[in-house]
Amino acid sequence: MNFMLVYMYGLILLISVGIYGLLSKQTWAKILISLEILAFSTISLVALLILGSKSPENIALGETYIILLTVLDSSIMGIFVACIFLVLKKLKAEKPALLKKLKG
Amino acid sequence: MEMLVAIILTALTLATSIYTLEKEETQRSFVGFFVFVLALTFLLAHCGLLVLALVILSVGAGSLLLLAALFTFSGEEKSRDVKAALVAIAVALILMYSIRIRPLYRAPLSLSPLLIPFILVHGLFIVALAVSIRLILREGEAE
Repeated sequence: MNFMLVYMYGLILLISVGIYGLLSKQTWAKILISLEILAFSTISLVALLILGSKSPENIALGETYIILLTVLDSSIMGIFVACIFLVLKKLKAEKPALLKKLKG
Repeated sequence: MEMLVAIILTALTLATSIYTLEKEETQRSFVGFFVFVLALTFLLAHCGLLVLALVILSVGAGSLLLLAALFTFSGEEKSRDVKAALVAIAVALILMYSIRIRPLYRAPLSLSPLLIPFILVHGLFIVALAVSIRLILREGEAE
């Protein structure tokens, strides 16, 4: 069994840990941590699957992954702050579970 | 030897991620998240994806800044959600089956110097978000 395969299975388990956290946690900090775990592990898994270490070509593909990671992370954080703003302004509350009361 | 390092790093990454999510004390949870990011960085560096590892380290450190700003909202509840655990296990099983498909080609991961300003702008964006959360909080407290 190749050691890269151990990493791939580990990253898959990390994705499932991220999903579990996203579904079960009720605080802003834990939801953000779950999203970060999910994003990091998914990007790493895809990078491991597609990229390796044999040929010296395809730099553009690597750069695409890095741009994707940074943009994904920025989007997660931006949407997150927007959610907090909505909950605080519209519902005058601090709990993320109250987001489901928002309409429109 | 490489297999042993792989098993240790994978176990450390998984253990710290679960610790981060399940720890009720928020400060320890943040420390756990930092160790998780470090472990993931070493994991990717061991795979030869050094640039991606460094970017994940910088992005994870930036996330810690936002987490610190979110500290006010971090009162922890004690809950174990069985449905969420079942969904997570199902996703893991499906992905584990799909990983048996082999990649068609392999290539190294590299970074052009043109991307460095982009990463710096991302850091500035995180700082701006942290400041905006603080402003929102201050306004909420004033009301």
